[in-house]
Amino acid sequence: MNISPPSQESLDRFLQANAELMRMGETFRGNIDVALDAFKIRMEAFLKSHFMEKAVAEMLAETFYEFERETRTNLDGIEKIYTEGGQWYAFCFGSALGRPVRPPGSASPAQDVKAKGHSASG
Amino acid sequence: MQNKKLSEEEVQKFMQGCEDLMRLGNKFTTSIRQAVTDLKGTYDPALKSQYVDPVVVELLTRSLQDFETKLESNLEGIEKICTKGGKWFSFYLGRAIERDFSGQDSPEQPAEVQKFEPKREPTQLTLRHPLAKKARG
Repeated sequence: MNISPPSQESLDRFLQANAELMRMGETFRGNIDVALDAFKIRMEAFLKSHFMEKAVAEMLAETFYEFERETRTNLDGIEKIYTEGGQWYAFCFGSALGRPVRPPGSASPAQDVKAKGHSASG
Repeated sequence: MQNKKLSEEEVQKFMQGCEDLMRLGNKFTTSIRQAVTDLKGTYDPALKSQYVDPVVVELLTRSLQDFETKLESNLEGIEKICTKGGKWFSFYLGRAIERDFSGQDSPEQPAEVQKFEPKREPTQLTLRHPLAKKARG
């Protein structure tokens, strides 16, 4: 086992990289959100057209909305990980090193995210 | 502002929390993938039927493929952050407080972390190993 403590500069760089990683995750989530919106617009246009049997259109619409609900719930969970979870990372990491860090708003790390996660995956 | 050092127990709890959070992130991406599979399970047979105009079938198929491609590439990014990013976090925290977190896998070589950075955000991210050696053998 070979553990040498990282330098101050290296730690600062890591914390910065961590914040950027969280932002990047949030961008990925946003991209999915945008792609879903775009697909929904096209879907709804097709479903409203006369080129599809009404019963089929209804079935596809119902399936799509169920899919949308499921996806958005899970995207919300991912967003919380990258926003609230990311803040807790920085806070606990800083605290572990004895640095002054402003604590995030909520009382318990990841508690909200976990609660949502259960309903999202169910 | 807070500047009190965390206790051993708090650090362990935090590491566990990190791991749970990363696992949860992967669970969310898995759920989204499953939702796409379910959607296609209904769409594919419907679009193959005679109740939809062939032009609509083609357009809808293309839209769905386009959406699926975007979704998949972004989910991959999210997944990598949750797996590799999470490991790097544990690794650095372990080194910063000069402790070995047994039970945690060693992080991969920095080059592998670098591999997925430039794909999405080529300018900013600087997550790399400062000493070019692993914490544990």
